[in-house]
Amino acid sequence: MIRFEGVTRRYGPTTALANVDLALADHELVVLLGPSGSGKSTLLRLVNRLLDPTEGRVFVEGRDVRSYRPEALRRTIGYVIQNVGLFPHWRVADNVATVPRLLGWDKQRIARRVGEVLDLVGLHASTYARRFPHELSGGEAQRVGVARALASDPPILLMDEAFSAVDPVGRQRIQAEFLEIQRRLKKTVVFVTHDVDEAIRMGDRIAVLRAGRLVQFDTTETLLERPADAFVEDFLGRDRTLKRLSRVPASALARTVPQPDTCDVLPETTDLRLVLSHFLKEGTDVVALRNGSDKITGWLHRRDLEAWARSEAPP
Amino acid sequence: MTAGWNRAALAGFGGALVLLTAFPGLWPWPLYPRASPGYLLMEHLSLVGLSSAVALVAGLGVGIAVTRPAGRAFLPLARTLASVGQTFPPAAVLILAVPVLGFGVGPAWVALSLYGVLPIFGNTVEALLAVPPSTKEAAKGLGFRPGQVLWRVELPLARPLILAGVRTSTVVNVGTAAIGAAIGAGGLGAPILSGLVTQNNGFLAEGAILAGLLALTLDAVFGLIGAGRT
Repeated sequence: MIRFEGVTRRYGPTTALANVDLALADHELVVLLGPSGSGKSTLLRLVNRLLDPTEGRVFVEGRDVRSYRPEALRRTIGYVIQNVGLFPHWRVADNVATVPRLLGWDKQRIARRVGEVLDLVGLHASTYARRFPHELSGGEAQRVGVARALASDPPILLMDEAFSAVDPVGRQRIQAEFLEIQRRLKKTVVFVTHDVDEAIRMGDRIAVLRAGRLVQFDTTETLLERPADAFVEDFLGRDRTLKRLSRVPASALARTVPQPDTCDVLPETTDLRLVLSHFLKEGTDVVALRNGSDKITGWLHRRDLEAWARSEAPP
Repeated sequence: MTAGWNRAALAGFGGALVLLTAFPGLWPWPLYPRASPGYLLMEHLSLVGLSSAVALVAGLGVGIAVTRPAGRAFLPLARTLASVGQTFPPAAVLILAVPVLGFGVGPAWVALSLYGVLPIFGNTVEALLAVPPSTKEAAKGLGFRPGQVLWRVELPLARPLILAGVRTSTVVNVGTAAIGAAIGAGGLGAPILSGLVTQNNGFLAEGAILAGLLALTLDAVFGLIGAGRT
């Protein structure tokens, strides 16, 4: 769906990207992760031709992006940026309708779609459609930004530090909501962030960049298990094992042999990190797991969790 | 509140202006004999109207041009010229026009247009530069063409400040145009000049009062346009 081939981008004497090869599969969410100045935003902006590479080529749906007219290309790619960039003189509904209008949809279709897509991001059209951007909270504005990017139902979504301006609590909520939307819509998403926790929470795969070079590109699990070098290991943080645990639901390590003891019950979707926290706090070694309809589906032992954490840890 | 004030000002000053020109008999002293107040007002208005229109087109045009990527190199130069130009007193602008352009209405038009450009240009540039980069970036990234970014995003956001520049320019022009009589442009400056020369305070007051009312009326009109839409 999106492919970078030997892409280099220079600004005068400085090299922002050096010979990057990267290919994204359809429907996956790939995080571009790296410190500031690593070239991650530059890489993202090559996709919708806000920038063109100095060398190398970028393909979208198998076609060199330079064969598209820039505006036509951009209208088929959703784009969300850090400071949202809502048009302050337009109401929420007009902001969301931006791309459909550029594409020349008829009024009824636009009105219907604006309602749908606001609903999708959890904002009631009746409450929000007539508001101006300055009447929104940071989180609401960011949701409108996502709605605007999704309005024409583009197959590709580019998100540049999309949630960085939202406060930490709001950010976790909007991340979770976005993952839920992504689970349903299955867009191909390029998601730029410098926040490791955000990358781990969101990414199907993560591309780590450093000083314009692609250092590692792997699934999030593999990245946490086997960082390619000291830089990646350092960047992921020393609590890498806990981060790995946070990606796995308790049900993955459950045993079905019934336990005689009475023990605490947790939802089976609880991640291993929270289960470990529970063990530490309660001083227990086993919890029972229940499914959505409150049926006990298995038991998780502390020794299994510890063994898993050790087993796949790097040598 | 401001809209209310502007409406009252328009009714009051505009009303007085119309009455005093339509019914010269209302004046309690003898008026400037060579032209009626109505004629002088129309002459003055045409001087101001045409030069302000030229100033608007030029100021807006140059302001837009130097804030586009292609014209960006000229931005510092244009800004410097504009601020230097604004330090010239309006009288000097008119007098300086004479050796180059001669006497009459034409040179007054040119001088007034040049002088009127400055506030419009200055405000246009500042307003366009003040549009948040993230807003422009979003517009571009969503697929607006450069012209669409300008017309649909930048100019609407810059509108209040540009209008303020037009308002200043036009109102100042009303006063400057009165000096135009000194170079033979006619208008409400004619009775003022004649009053000064012949020490006739009645002529002087006639021109000054009408020019003052015209400035206040136009100011109120622009106030209403500015408040009209968000």
